[in-house]
Order: sequence, then structure tokens, then C-alpha cells
Amino acid sequence: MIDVDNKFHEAARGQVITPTVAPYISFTKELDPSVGIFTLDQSVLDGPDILALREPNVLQIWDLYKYLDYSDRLVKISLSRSIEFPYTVQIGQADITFDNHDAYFTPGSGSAIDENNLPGRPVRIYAGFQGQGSIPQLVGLTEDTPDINQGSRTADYHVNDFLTSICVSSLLEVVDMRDARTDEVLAAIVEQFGLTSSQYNFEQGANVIPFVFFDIGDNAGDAIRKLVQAENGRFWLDELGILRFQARASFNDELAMTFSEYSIIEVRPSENSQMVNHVKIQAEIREVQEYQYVYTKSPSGDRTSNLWVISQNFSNEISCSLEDPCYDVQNPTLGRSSNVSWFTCKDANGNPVTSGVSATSRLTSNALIITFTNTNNFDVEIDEMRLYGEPAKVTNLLKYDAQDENSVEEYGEHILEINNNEFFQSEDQADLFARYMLYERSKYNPILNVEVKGDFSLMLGDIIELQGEFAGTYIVDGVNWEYGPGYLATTLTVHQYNAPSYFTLDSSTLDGTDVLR
Amino acid sequence: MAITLTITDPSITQTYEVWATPLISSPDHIGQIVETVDGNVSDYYKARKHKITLSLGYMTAGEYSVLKGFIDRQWENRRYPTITITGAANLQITDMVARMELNSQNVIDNCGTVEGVQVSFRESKQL
Repeated sequence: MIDVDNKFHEAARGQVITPTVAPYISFTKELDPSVGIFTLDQSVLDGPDILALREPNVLQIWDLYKYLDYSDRLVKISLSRSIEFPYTVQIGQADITFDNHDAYFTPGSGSAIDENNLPGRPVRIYAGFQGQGSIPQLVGLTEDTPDINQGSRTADYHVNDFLTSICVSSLLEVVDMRDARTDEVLAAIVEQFGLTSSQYNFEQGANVIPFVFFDIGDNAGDAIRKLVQAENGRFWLDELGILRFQARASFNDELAMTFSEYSIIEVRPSENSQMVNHVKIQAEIREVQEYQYVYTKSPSGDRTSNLWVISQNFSNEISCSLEDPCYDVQNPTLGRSSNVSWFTCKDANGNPVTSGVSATSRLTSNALIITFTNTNNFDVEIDEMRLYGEPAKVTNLLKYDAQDENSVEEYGEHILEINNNEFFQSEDQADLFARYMLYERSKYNPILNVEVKGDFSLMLGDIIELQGEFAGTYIVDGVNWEYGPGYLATTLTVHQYNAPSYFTLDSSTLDGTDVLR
Repeated sequence: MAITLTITDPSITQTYEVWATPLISSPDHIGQIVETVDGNVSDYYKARKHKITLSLGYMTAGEYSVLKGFIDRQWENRRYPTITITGAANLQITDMVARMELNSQNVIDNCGTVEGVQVSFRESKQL
């Protein structure tokens, strides 16, 4: 829950509720050099400085844009944040409808924003209650140019939060690490997208991964989802725009909010229970080996392979497939040698060539891409080659299987099978993941869609109490709200929360049901 | 008792003396009532806006043309006029930006006289 004054909560649950929502957009993407965190006795109220909330704040690049408030043109706005099951990466998005009677938002209209009415414009959404201030709800980017509705004279923008923008992107650089913690790998990924270490807040992960390799062009979202799933952690862009990773051990078990019957409008149980009473995990365990030869090209003999011929004064790129992914492969040099990567060349008559041929290389997940350059005034052929590197070989196969037999007997089998996540690297890790999953999901636990008097301070993962017919403690998996002049409709997606019983030395039983923090 | 209605847009200002009745003033309540599971209600509330309907009776073709000009310019210029109403009991409106509507034109003779002219205003703001 975002830390706000108690009066904010009272305003959310009162008799006459006056919500306010403001969308800010930076169409020009112009940076405002005067922006800083609000400093008492120095900053000007209603000036450009950002009001720091009660927790330590981080100034993000998206804080520095010049934004304009488009509340005057706001017709309605809907916002949703949710956790992707069975991953724990949270996604936020919004749809904004603006009054467009004067074609202000219509591309090609020649309006004041026309030149900059393009996809990828930074957006910030604030919400609150009259007299109680506003708090951030989403920072993101417009997905496309707006949809123009001529009939209703409105313009619709779809906005994805910055994390979604990262998740749909391809990696720009190789991530090649060994013995790295989850948070270190996540940092290497997000830093490719321009974030510096002062702009995210990642807790130390418990999972140490012996070998990590992501190639250029791999989907960043897939990489992040797998890493966070194996850690059973949580990864999200918070309402302030700070990218956060939280390890499972530090999840907050405190009750964030109680909804009395006077705060609940309707409860709709969903047919989808997301029950899991059987967990199967299969993964190859790889370990980086000592330097060894990882690729061999035999001498061509009398035959000439055009593939390996480098024309005079020309460069040629050749891909050498590797049996295993490698942490490192040395760049080959001309001339046979031991304990290094090397290659030999010959001319068209089969005579050895000992100069004028060089190589540069780039490692991918399954190949070394070598660019050979021939500066001689005759064609050469790469005759023999050996590549020396550190392969990450499969040393074991993790096959983990656990189920809650009582639940399977009672409700039938609800299986969660993970066989494409190479970041499960030990039995202990799989066991910890499965225990939490079975603890939370093996009992009948329908997803509830609860329409409530919305409180903008509620965050995903918060623990709430519902009173009345569905009385109990629940964890928030999704928050959706729609705002228009004079209405706010808020629906929470929740599932029942069973506070784990944590393992305590000298009191818990080994192999019992208590969960390790 | 007569009341005075003044309509202004960037082109002209026109004042009408009209009878105080019938004058329909029904504030537009921008909000929504929600009923919670305990059977009680709450209000999501944004604002209350003036919504006023005035009867101008008969108008000559020329007078009607002037009045209709405000409507035409409202759409052509994409800008609402402002109105001032004085002399009405419990209703004091000064320079209020309002969306203007006119009822159907009911011509009753060959001179173009219009009968039962009714004009409505819904409070708004200027962008």
C-alpha cells in the first residue's frame, strides 16, 4: 500500500466521495532541467519539483520530462494492474479517452501537438480525492497514435507501463554471466534499457545461477519472467515509477486494508480457481567447465569448400555451431598453437598461408560467429580450426515432483508443469518454490472479483480483509479501475491468503509443512 | 416579473427580456450512487452544473435569425457562448459559459414568425 494520510482512506470510503484523476503527457519528450525532488524551504509549491512520498524516492528519467496536465479534456480513463500467474511479474496499462471536439488529438490536424503526436510519448497518471491530494498510479508510454472516434468526437490512447515496454523489447546486448544472483542478472538486463543502479531497487536474490546466457534479440520479458519465477519473487514497476524486485523471503505479511460491508459493492466469484496441487519441474543443470576445445574443423584435404573460402581483400562471416552454450570462447588467431583458439589457411594450390588473414568473433547462445578478413591479393581457404572455450555442460537433470495428495484426491489433479525454465538449478530451490505454490494454491481458493469503493493507495500483493459474506484475508492479484466525471468503478481480483507458517529452529519439524523464509 | 437574458459570443451580445415563467432550472448532478452490500448507499460526486430552459414565446424571422446565429457560431467556432441571467428568483447567473440548444423552429405565418421558441443552456467551461 502506498503510504498516505488516514484522511485519504476516509475520503475513499465516505458517503460522498470525490475522486480526481489527472493524466499528464509529455508529447514533446522535452526534458525539464529544473525538475528535482521537492525540498522543503527551497522548492515552490505547484512548481515543477516532484513531491517525494514518505519512502526514499528515486529520480527517474521519466520524471524529468516536461509534462502537461490534460485533465480538462479527460472523458474517462481506465487503468489495470495485474500479476501474471504463474509468474510474478506485474503489468500495468491504461486506456484514456479525451474530448477531441476540435481535432486537437487527431493526427494531421495541425493542432499544437500534431508534430509530436507519436507513439511512445511518456504518460503519468495521478489519482486521489478532492482535498486529499493525488498519488501516482502509473508511468508509461503511449502504445500508438490515438484511435479517433468521429461520432463521439473523442480520442483514445492506450498506455503501457515502462516495464511492459521493456518486456516486449529484445535484448540489445549479450548477457553472459556465471554464478550470478537473480538480482544481478535482472540488473544486467534492465541496464541495457538505460536504467542506472540508482533507478531501480532490487533485493538480493537467494538463487545463484551457475551460468546465464541471453543472446542479442532474445525477448527481455521471457528472460525476466523465468528469472523471477525461479526465485519465486516479485518484479514490478511501482506507482512511483521505480522498478522493484522483491525476493520471496521479504514479502510483507501485514494486513494493508480492511473492507467493511459499507465498502464492498459486489463480490463475484470467478470460475477460474488457479488451483495447483501438483508441481513438476524439469530443468537441465549446467555448469561451466574448464577451458577446453569446443569446436574442431578438420583439414579440408584436397577438396575445397566454398563456405570456407575468403576472397582476396574481402571479409566473410562464418557461424560455427557449438555443442553446448559457452561462457567464453577465445577469438581464433592464425597459426596452430596449444591451449588457444587457432586456425590455419591455404591458397588455391594447397600451399599454407601464414599471414594476411585475421579473425574477429562474437559469441551467441549456440554458436561463435567469426568474421575472417583476407588482406592478401589471392583467395584463401580456412583449412583447419579449433576453438578453445569454457562450455556450460549439462551435469545433471533436475526432475522434481511434489503434490498435495489430499487435495488431488478431493479436487482432482491441477498440475503446474515447468520444463522450460533453466534457472531452477537445484532440488532445494524447486522444493522451496513448490512448497509455497502448494501452500497457497492447493486448497479450493476461487478467484474473487470484488467491486469496492476504490482506494488509490492499494497496491498489488497487498493483503486485505473482506468482511461480510466472503469474510477472510485475501491477497490482491489485480486492480482495475475506471474513472469518469462523477464515477469511479474499482474491481479487485483477489485470492484467499493463507499466512505461511515459517520454519522456526528447535520448534518446526524437518520435512514438515513449515516454509523456509 | 420579467427577467433579463444576455447571450454573448465573440461576434455579438444580445439581450432578451423574457417572462419569468416558465423557467426550468434543473441542476445537472454529475455523479453516481452506489449501493454497498450492506444495503446503504454512497455517492461518487463530481459537481452540480446549471441546466436552464427559458421560453421566449413568439419571435419575428429577424429576431429568430439573431438567436439562431449563436447556435450556428457555437458549432462553427467550436466555442460556447456565455450567458447572464438577472431578475429571476433564486437564480443569479453571470458570464456563465454554457452549451446552447434551441428547440424546433415552428413557423406560423408567411412572414416567418416563430412560435414557442425555447432555449436551453447547460453550464460548461471554456477550454
